[in-house]
Amino acid sequence: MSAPVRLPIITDDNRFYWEGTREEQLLLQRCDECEEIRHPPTPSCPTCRSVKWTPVAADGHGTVYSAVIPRHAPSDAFGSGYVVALIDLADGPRFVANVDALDPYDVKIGSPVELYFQTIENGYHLPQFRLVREASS
Amino acid sequence: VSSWRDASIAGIGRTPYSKRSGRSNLELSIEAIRVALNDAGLQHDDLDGLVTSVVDTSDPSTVAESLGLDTIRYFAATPYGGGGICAAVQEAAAAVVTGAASVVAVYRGMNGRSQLRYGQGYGDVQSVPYMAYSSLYGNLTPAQQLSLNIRRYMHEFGVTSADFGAISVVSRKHASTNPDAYFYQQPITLEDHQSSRWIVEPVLHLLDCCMESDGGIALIVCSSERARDSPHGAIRLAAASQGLSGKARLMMNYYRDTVPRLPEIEIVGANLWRAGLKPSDIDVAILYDNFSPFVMMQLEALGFCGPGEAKDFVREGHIEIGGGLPVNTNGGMLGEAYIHGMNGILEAVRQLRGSAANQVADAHHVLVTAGPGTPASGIVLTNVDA
Repeated sequence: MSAPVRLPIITDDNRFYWEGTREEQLLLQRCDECEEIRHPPTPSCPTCRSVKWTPVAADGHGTVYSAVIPRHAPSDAFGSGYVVALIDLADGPRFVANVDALDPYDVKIGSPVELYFQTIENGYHLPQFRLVREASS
Repeated sequence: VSSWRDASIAGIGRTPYSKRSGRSNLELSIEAIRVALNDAGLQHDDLDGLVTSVVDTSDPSTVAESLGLDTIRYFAATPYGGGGICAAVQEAAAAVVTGAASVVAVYRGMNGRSQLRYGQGYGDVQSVPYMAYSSLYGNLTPAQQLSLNIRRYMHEFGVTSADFGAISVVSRKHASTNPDAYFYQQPITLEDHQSSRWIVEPVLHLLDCCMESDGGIALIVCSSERARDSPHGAIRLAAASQGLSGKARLMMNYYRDTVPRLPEIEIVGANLWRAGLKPSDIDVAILYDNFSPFVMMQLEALGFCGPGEAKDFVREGHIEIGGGLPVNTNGGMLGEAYIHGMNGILEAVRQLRGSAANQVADAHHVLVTAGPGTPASGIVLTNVDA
């Protein structure tokens, strides 16, 4: 099967996010009114409905909230045995990413993870996570 | 004041279910409409309303053109695929009780196996910008996307794959005695389920996933007064609701506290029960079974049992024919066919007419739901004339 095009679609609401990845930054939105930090990008704060916000770079640490191993993927571009996870960022929001691990079964609910960037197309980078090794944590 | 009960399903129609219909989606729909009109004792020229799903490739104008319908006064298409199927009946009923239309065909025609296969996911196309936050990570198909929520449900309530397998076993048991079912006379064991290959580990085995089918289905909705004079009588709408909760994202309800629950179905349930019914009034439940775990999660979301109790409810046999709440008596989309939930509505009508292959005695109220994982909808149908 052909590899999927790994290129985001840029809209007025998400441009800051994808532009941030060019600089290897995972940008979240912090509401100027209630200070809640949110992701994915939306023009208005779901908590206080303010449309005023400031981009803030994610701390880069998180915890696995849920994780699965797709075994029947429609594309082989992602390899086999990759992990798709929901990660609770230390900053607050939840985030979808792959989690790199030598053994996918090592990725468990509650595992600590850290951010890195994977190069995709047209200068964009994909925020990704890997297991935090015990020794370096 | 008019109510849902003033609208009824007077006719049902379908094409054969298959893996390769050899016909267009449009031809499937117009055949199903013809059969449903005949079932209702009505003519094409009686139709003045058409409702379908926004994902159906045959929009109302193409159907009207093919059938030579000259005066269509109401048309609509409900969003969110299978999640909008019960809402399509609700739309049709709303048109009827307000007088916007008098006879409405609700239709869905899809070559879901031989042409567009939803289970294949979105592939190269990231047509929806928000999907990029997920699809760029290889999270591409409904099975994969929804499994992230289900994994968390398993974690929080101690539910296992074998618990989900019990749903598949019951569905295939029901299908095995339904001649309309693709898996007629093909029951499975829990061992078959557990040894079927992983689709998404550790959540979904192959036998947790609905099938893919080709077929067309139509329902004729009109006033209950008119339906009473139809050959099979009136199957009334007792209650109807859609459900959309905060931070809902199609197949990606990840960004909220309710990840291991189904808040859209909770809204549907609460609104259905507000109509005066309660869970114990339901004689048969047709619960949308794109994936077996959602049957379990819906039992909890709708109040048939408490949070985390569905695995025991299923193990105790309540969802089998003869149990307290027979579920998916036609075999569901795991066993009969996958026509985006429309075949479940047909089963509800058959149960209320007394013509189902696996007939439940004295069925008076049948619940049908649509779409866990998407914005949802649900209806209760009844043969009680009041």
